[in-house]
Amino acid sequence: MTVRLQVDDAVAPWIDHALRRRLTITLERLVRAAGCRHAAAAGLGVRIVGDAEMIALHREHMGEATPTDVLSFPADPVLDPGLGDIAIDWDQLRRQAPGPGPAAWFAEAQQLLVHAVAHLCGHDHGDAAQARAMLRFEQRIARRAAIATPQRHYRRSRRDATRRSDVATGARWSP
Amino acid sequence: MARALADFADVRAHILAQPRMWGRIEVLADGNLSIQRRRAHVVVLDAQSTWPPEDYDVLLAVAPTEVLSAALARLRTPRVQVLPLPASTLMVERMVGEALRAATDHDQSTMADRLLELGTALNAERNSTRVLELIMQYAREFTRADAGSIYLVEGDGERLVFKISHNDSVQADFSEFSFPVSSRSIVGSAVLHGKTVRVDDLYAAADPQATMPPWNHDRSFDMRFGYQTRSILTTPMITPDKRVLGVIQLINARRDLAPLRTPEDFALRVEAFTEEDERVCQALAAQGAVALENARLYAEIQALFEGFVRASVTAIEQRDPTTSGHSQRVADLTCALARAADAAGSGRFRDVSYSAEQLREIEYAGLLHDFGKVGVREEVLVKAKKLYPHQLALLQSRFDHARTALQLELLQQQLARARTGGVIDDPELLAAHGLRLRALDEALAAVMVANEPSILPQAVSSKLGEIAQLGFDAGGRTVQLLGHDELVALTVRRGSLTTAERMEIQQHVTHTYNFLVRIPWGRQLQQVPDIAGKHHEYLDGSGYPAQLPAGDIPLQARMMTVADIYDALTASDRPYKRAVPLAQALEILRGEATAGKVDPDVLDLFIGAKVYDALGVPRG
Repeated sequence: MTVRLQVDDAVAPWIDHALRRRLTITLERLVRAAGCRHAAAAGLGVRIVGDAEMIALHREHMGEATPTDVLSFPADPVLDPGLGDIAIDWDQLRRQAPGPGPAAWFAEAQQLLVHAVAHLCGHDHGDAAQARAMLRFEQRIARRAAIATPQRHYRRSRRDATRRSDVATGARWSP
Repeated sequence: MARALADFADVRAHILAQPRMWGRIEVLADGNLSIQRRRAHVVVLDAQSTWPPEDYDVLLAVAPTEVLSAALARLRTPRVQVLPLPASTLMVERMVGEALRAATDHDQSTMADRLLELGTALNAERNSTRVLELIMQYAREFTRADAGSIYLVEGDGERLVFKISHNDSVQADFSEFSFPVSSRSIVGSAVLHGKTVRVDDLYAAADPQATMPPWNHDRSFDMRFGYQTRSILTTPMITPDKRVLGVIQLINARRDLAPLRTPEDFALRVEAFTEEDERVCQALAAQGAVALENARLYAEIQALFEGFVRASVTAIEQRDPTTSGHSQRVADLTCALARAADAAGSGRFRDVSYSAEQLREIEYAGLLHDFGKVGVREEVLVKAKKLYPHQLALLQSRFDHARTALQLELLQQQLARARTGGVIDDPELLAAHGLRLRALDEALAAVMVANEPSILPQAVSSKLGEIAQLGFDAGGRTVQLLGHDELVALTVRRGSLTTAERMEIQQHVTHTYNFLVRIPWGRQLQQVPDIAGKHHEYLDGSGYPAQLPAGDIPLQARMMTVADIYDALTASDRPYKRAVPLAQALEILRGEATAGKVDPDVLDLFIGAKVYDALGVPRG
């Protein structure tokens, strides 16, 4: 089992081979930084999707028919092998990236991945204390993975103040 | 001619004048007399002017008639007999004799009480060493022996092992040692003949008339510690079916309870053991033999159970070697958690306490909680992708077959054209063939994508539906590219397991319960199946197999749930699993508690008491 990066056809034109490789390397570093012994054994699946697919996922797992930048699917520790899955909406990412072009997209993707990996490791931003603990965790793994330090509490995200959570709770512990 | 004695001093003088008549007589510091015959102890008290001592069996209060009632009013102690003065010598002798008889009766009833106490204590005792300690303690108390040891017969009755040793006078380190059973030692001859051996004084000059005993007492201990082993009482412990289990040896009966220090102590204060001592000691030995046998049987049953449980654990772990050690760790963690709950002095767990038996129940439940996995197919337990390797191989060869079939079709068409003189390399024909080949490759690529356990893209999902419609001609028979089972497995939205396989894995709890419930655990361990069978039930009723409500999930099972998830998260020996660091594992558990699945109080205890340290090794 290894880190798997899948790019949907809908957004494939935006993500060239080099960007794909950089994303994979970022993921492997993050998983190691989060304390998993072997990145190769972590069993992490990342899918990069477009708005249409993200809306479908968002509706299926959280009952909201809107695009969102990232969804995390933690694995059931008893039943599922691996760490879990992450879905990133590249259309949404391009809209909220700090600038146009692959460099800005990559920077934004890194931030989203840090956040999603923190979710997969059990963190959530339910209340202020949890959000602080999560931010500390994000800053720690980002530092270890040589990624720009996350600054903001996801809870008070200026991008989407009404968002409740981006953990697909419906998918957890599914019987 | 009976003479009248007028005051206490006269009475005392009269008694002291006839030392052989009563036993041992001593004048106490306050002038009163202490008379001892064996263990019976009478104090002759000057009731007019002194207070009674604390230690006696019967008090004989002596005072002139006119002050006697006033003196008796002062004496609130029990077991008082009175001797009014003046009294004739005959009367004094008779009264002292009566007091001694009463003292002997009292002593014997006390001893009977103590024997009953010992019986109760022995019945409750399951530990053979403590059984022996109890026997030794009481035997020495009854006989006033300075020292004593217990030897057990081991092997096939060939060796004696030195087990217990008490000695009031010498502090020596008696480690366990063993020696062969033979009539050359006192202990050995007691075992061989099944008879009590009583020696009055080993240091007395040998009687030339007497036959030499076959044994030879080893004096090295005496030499080393300046001790003298004088009187000995050696009694075999014999079971009702006449097997000798061991030997009780008592050494140096004493006149009092003070330790023996000097050679004079040994010469003056050591006495021979009496026949009564022998009787008591034999009674104790018989009782001890039964208790020892019970303790042995109990230990055997326990060992049998333990062995059976361990063997079962081995069976589980051979099934799924990637989880080896998991059962033991869950047992350790759950027991540690139970102990922490037991120790908690406040809060929810204030009234929770677990006995040693209950902890054993929890341990067994922990060791066997996953036993039902022997009823789950191994390939399901270790399934990593959506298709099993053999399924994937079959599917790939089916695609190869399809490719060959396409090739064959093309060649047949070309052959037909060749026969009719048509164009063989018709570009249209070739293009159509190439298109079909590419469609086949794309289909296989989609299958490979779908085979990964990540979230299934919807595009791939719908493509799988199309592929399932495709078939190819294999010798006149149409073969579907995707079988029904393969389609079901590949269209799982997330993870590698189909619903049926998830249910099969979840069934392991039911298997565990069904297996455990067949075992007659007895009263003390009766909850084992219940605890082990409910460790996947969640408080919000979303667990399995029974979706029980919180009220039906025992605390022990809730503890096991926490331990099981924690170990699943942090175990570093699962090649296909992550091992998350401690902090993250606790974070995930907290998430489960917030979601209403795991008992938050149990989790707080788990974290607060650092129960996870019970495993002793850093995790992750």
